[in-house]
Amino acid sequence: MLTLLIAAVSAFEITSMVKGKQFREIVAFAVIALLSLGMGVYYILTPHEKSLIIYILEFFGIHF
Amino acid sequence: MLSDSRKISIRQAVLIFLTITFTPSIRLIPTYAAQRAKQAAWLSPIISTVLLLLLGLVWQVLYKRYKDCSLMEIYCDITGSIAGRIIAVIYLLWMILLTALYIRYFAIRLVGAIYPNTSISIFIISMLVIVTYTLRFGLPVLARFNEVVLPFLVLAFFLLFLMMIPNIKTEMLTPVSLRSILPVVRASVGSTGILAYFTFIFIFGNRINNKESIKKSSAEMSMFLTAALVLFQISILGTFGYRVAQRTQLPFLVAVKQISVMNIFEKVESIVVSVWVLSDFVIISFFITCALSILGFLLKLRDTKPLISIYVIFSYFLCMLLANNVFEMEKLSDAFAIPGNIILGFVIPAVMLLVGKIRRKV
Repeated sequence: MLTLLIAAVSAFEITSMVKGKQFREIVAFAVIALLSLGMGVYYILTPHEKSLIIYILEFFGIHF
Repeated sequence: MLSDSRKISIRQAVLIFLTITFTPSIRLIPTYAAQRAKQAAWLSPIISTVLLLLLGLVWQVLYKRYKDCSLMEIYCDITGSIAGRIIAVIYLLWMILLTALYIRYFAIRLVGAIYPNTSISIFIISMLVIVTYTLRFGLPVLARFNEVVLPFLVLAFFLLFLMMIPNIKTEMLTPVSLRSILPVVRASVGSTGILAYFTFIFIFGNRINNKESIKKSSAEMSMFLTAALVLFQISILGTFGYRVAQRTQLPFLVAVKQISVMNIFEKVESIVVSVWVLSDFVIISFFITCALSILGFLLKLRDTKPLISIYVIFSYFLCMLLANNVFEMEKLSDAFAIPGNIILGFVIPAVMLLVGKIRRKV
C-alpha cells in the first residue's frame, strides 16, 4: 500500500517534471521519496519503538 | 523576480501570522504561564508583544537594504554563503520538525477533545489531502483563504469571551504586585516562543510585497495580539484560577465547556474545535510552504510545487514516528521547541542585524 502510494505519486509528479526539464527537482523528489519509504517501512515494522522525540531530547541532554 | 500575481502583501503575511499563533496560543500559553506566574499569568503576553514590536523593527531595518530577498538570501549575504547555508539548513530542519509536530498536535487534539478511540491517521490523512490540494495553487491562495478564515476566528473568540464573562471572577486574577514581575517575565517565554513565528514569514520574504510597511503592520499586530492574548488568559484564569489552568491539558476548551447562557445556549465547544481545525490547516500549510521554500533555496530549484505531495507523505510518517504520546510532545514543546523558536525567531535576526551593521551590509 505504502509502496503503491509513493509509486503513484512519483509517477504523476516525475512525468510532469520530465516534461518541464526540472532535473534538480527530480533528484530532490527521489531523495524525499526514498526517505519517506524508509520511514514508512520503519514505522510499519516497529510501531512501538522509542519515539523520535525521545532521541531528540536525549541528544540535547534534556531529561524526560 | 517573481510576478506580482505570485506574491502576497505584507498585510496578508501578517494575517497568516495572526492565524498561526491561534492554535499554539490555546494549547501552550495558559498552562505554561500559569505554572510560572500563577494568578499574574495574564500579564505575560504584554512582554512578548513588546519584543514582537522590536522584532518588527529589526526586519524593517533589514528589508530597507534587502528589498526582494528571502530570509535565507539575507543571511547568506550578511554572513557569507557557507555560514548562511548552514543557518538555512538549521531553519529547514526546524520547519520539518514543526510541520510534523503541528500535524500530530492537530490529530491528538481532535481525538482528545471530541473523538476518543478514533485513529489519528483518519484526521491526519484528511487534513494532509486538503493541504496538498490547496498548496498546489500557491501562496496567494493560502493567503486569501486565510483572509476569510481569520475574521471567523476572531469573531468566534470574541463571542466566546463575551459568553465567558459571567463565569470570570476577578479575585482569580489578583493579587498582582511588584513581586510578580519576575514570574511574569518567566511566563512570557512561552508566548515569546510562539510570537517568534513572525520571523518565519520572511522565509518567503521574496514573495511578500510592500515590506516598507513592516513597522506599521507589526505595531498594529502587536496591539491586537496584546489585547487578544491578555483577554484569552483572563478568560481561562478568571474562570477557574491558575491552579486548574496549570494542571489542565486544554484549559481553554474546559473554560468554554463552562459556558451556559441562561441554560439555553450550551455545549459551544464545537465552535472552538471547528476554528481550531481551520487554524491548524493554515499552520500546517504555512510550515510546509516554509520548508519547501528553504529546500528550493538550498537546492536552487526553479519550482517546489512538484515536491508538495511527496513532502506531505514524508511529513505523515515523520509525525507518526515523532511521538508515542501527548506527554512527549508537551515536553518537546516546553523544553526544546520554545527555546528553539526564540533562538531562530528572535536571536538570530537580531544577531544578523548586528553583524550586518558591523560588516556595513545593512
